[in-house]
Amino acid sequence: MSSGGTPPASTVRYKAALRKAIRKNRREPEIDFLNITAMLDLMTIILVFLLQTMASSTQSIQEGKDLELARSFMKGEPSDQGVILVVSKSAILLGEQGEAVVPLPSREQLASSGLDAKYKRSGPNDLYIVPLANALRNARKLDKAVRAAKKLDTSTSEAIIIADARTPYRLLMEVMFTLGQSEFGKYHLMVMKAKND
Amino acid sequence: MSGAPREDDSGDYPLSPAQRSRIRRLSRWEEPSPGEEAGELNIVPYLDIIMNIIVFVIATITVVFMSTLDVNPPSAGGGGRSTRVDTKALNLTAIITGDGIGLKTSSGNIATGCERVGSGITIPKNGDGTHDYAELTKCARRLKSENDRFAEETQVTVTANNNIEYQTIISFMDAIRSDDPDSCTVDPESKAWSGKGCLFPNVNFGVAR
Repeated sequence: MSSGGTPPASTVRYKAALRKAIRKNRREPEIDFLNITAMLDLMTIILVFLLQTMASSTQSIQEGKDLELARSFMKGEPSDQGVILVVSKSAILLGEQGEAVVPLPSREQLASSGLDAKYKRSGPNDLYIVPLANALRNARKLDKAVRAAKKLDTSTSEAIIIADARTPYRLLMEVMFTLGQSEFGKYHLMVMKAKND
Repeated sequence: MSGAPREDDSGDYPLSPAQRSRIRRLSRWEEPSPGEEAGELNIVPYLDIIMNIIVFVIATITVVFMSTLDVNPPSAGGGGRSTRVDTKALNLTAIITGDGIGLKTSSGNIATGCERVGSGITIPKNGDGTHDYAELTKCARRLKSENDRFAEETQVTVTANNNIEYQTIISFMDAIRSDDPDSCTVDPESKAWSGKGCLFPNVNFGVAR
């Protein structure tokens, strides 16, 4: 610790002087950057929320082999009021989660006599689809409560029908008839906008 | 009285030049290196993922291309939930078959060509097997223009053979709704159609028994 014969100060004095010098020279760090960690957390949450919302929206139907929407020149925004009912090539699905209610036979069979008699109330000529009506009963109960909370008319519910373009008229009528019997009084037929030229 | 340091009252020596030098060096303020203090994230991979997700979402979701057509429940026996009872009204009914589209009014079946009442399919299919929707629109306009009383009528009841496709029904509704889409609009609140271009925008479904 010594140099040139000069006796050094004691360690206590040296450390005290060092601490004092450090304190004196200390500067508050300037915030010259943005801490984006919190923002990224927020962005991730928003992204997940948006994806979840869009996935459950009626406007986000994805076409595929099992469901190809009909084309229409109809303009205007799609209605989002009502219980969603999907009639695909292979099944009838109900609700935003798309729970399969009734499996569908081949198109040829549907076009001639509609759904199998085992799903009907009273034989093959009946239009009333029993499993669909049972599922609609629960949906109607829930929708009725929602409409009451929104102060809308609770006497009937609305349905959004998303049907495959090749769905036979017979099946369409069976579905609509069953909806009508289940206190659904207005239907919105979902279509894909076609160019008008 | 030499320059040699002496002990002070506490019996300690003052700081030597070497100690002072070391204190100066150790107490010097140094700027933290970039990112050292906050531990910044490398967000480039994160942004890559976000961009991919956004492109995927935009490519797969068809938000702006959807629309809905509002209809009422069908009723068995051929008639929809119609409010028409006046025999002087047009009471337009359409039946879509594999051969074409037949139209019927309170006067009777409209014959082929849409000129008079008579037998036959009103609008037969085209040569290529497709329905003649342009002719259907013309025929609907002709029927609506026949009498001033029909101007207020906006309803048509449609029935179809079991095997007729949903797309055909939608195309029929498009064709019979109006002959000038720009002058036939629907009120978003009341859902009522109005405009000079409107023909029969309110479609009721019937089920043939």
